[in-house]
Amino acid sequence: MRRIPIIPLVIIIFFSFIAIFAPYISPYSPYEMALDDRLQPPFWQAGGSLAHPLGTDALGRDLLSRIIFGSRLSLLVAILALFLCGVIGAGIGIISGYLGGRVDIVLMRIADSTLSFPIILFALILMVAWGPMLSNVIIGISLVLWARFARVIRGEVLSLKEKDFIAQARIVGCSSVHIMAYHIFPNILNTLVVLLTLQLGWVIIVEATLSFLGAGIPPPEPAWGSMTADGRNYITTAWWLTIIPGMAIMLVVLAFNLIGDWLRDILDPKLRQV
Amino acid sequence: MTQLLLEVKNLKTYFFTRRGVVRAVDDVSFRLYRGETLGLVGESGCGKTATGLSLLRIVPQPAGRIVGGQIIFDGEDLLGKSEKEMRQLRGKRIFMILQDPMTSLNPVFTIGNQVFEAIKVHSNLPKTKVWSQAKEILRLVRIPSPEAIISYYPHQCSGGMKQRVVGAMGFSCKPDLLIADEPTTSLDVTIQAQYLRLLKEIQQWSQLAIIFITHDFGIVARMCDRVAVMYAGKIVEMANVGEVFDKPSHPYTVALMSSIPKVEIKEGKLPTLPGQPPGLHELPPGCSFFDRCAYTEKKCEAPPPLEEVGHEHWVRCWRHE
Repeated sequence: MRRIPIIPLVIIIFFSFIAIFAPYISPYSPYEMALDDRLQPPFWQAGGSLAHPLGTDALGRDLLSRIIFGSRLSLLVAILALFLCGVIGAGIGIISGYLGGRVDIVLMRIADSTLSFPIILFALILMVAWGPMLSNVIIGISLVLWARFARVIRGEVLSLKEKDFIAQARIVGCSSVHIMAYHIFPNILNTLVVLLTLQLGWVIIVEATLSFLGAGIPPPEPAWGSMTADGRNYITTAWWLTIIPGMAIMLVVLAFNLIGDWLRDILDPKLRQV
Repeated sequence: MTQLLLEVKNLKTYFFTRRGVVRAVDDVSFRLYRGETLGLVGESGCGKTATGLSLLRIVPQPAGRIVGGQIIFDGEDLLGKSEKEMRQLRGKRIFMILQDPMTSLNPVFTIGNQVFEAIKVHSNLPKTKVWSQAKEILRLVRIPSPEAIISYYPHQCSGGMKQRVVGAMGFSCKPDLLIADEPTTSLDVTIQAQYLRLLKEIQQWSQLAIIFITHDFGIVARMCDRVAVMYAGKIVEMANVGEVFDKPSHPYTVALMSSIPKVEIKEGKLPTLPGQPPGLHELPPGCSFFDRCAYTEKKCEAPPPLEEVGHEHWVRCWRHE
């Protein structure tokens, strides 16, 4: 058995903590501009001060506060989008796998065509069509990512439905809906949990990418992706504006992936290729 | 024991595979009376289980299909029923026990939950009533201390216990027909004996009709009133148990009988039946037993009909003309 990955766990707990308590721990409002204090460096750099520990951006907003509030957005989008993904993906996967036949063919071809599209491009098109908004980002990401869930879950269901206890449930007189909800679903929960954690990193990256491209969460919301984008113009003079939000994205994604790997190994070694 | 419960007429269940049509159940007909036990005997892959699944109309889809015949259960043709009507019959009036108790319970639910479900599916009783019924039925199948077992998960139970739990799920709604698909094959002999005794007892007071699928003539002698011997999807011989043991008439039955170990014979090799049953998608045009039969004649190249050779004794072989 692999050991519990302590460091990733600490990182996730840390970011969840600052996300939940953002208004209480952030030193400034993330929207508050102070044009006198533009482009202040972090405190360890020459000219930096502890008044703005991570410095300020081009509009004089406190970077630390924006990172803290940004963690809220990132995790919120990730959790809601994954919830939707999980519901759609597991639902379609179970229906497709259990019912089989024509239903299966139609649903899986839809999933295939979704998968054959470059994710970012697809999400970008959706965003351009619907306009950048928090709810649109969440729905868009789930529409792009559900197919991965559906495919894996369907595979699992295909092997599950040949098991004797499913036949026994039919013999007892259970309806198909009942079997899917009470016999199949609990048995794919492991897989679903592993998939959710492994995809969490992906969702954060897609959201950050969309925000970076200006098609995600609209300004002045402090999304990590759009913060890296804003910092690009000052990369030679104020590198921290890009690097620090980038580091935040990297840390969270890495931590979730490591936790996901670990969960997969202890819950479901079969999934190793996913 | 005189009331007709089930009449199967010319049942045909085929599996449509890439390698061809597999005639798993090919023109099977038999009758079953209330309180009677019919043994369905034959080698692996000769259509016994497919027959059982067909009676419940749960042949694996989409490959398998019942393509013809009639299943008249208590006066109604099951093949004409809708899926919803079938669902009300399954578990309530017809139940089937599958071969392997280790896998026929859902690993994520407790024993209690599964028995509970089996009752709840067919009744509107309040929950507490159903729970006490579940406990009662577990006691009936001789589960020691049902109060404790009810919260066990399947992996905490032994094979014999699980098979009794499946039995409990079956008896919970007092079915008229039980299809037992080699229910004791994966149990050891002492547990097997206990289980069979239990089935017999329950049958005696509930007038349950049983179709006992097995390949063990010992069990047949002990449990069954009548036997149907299946070979390659067809019934090749059907008669009362005594008749089959006294004068087996189909060469296949004779061969099966002679390969039962006998206590009085100490030396020599046990006779075996050479070869394998034919692949069900490439049956010989005539008698399906053609390739392995010791009495093959010219006539056998045409398919023999099932004919009555004695009182209630049917044989599918040309030798009995």
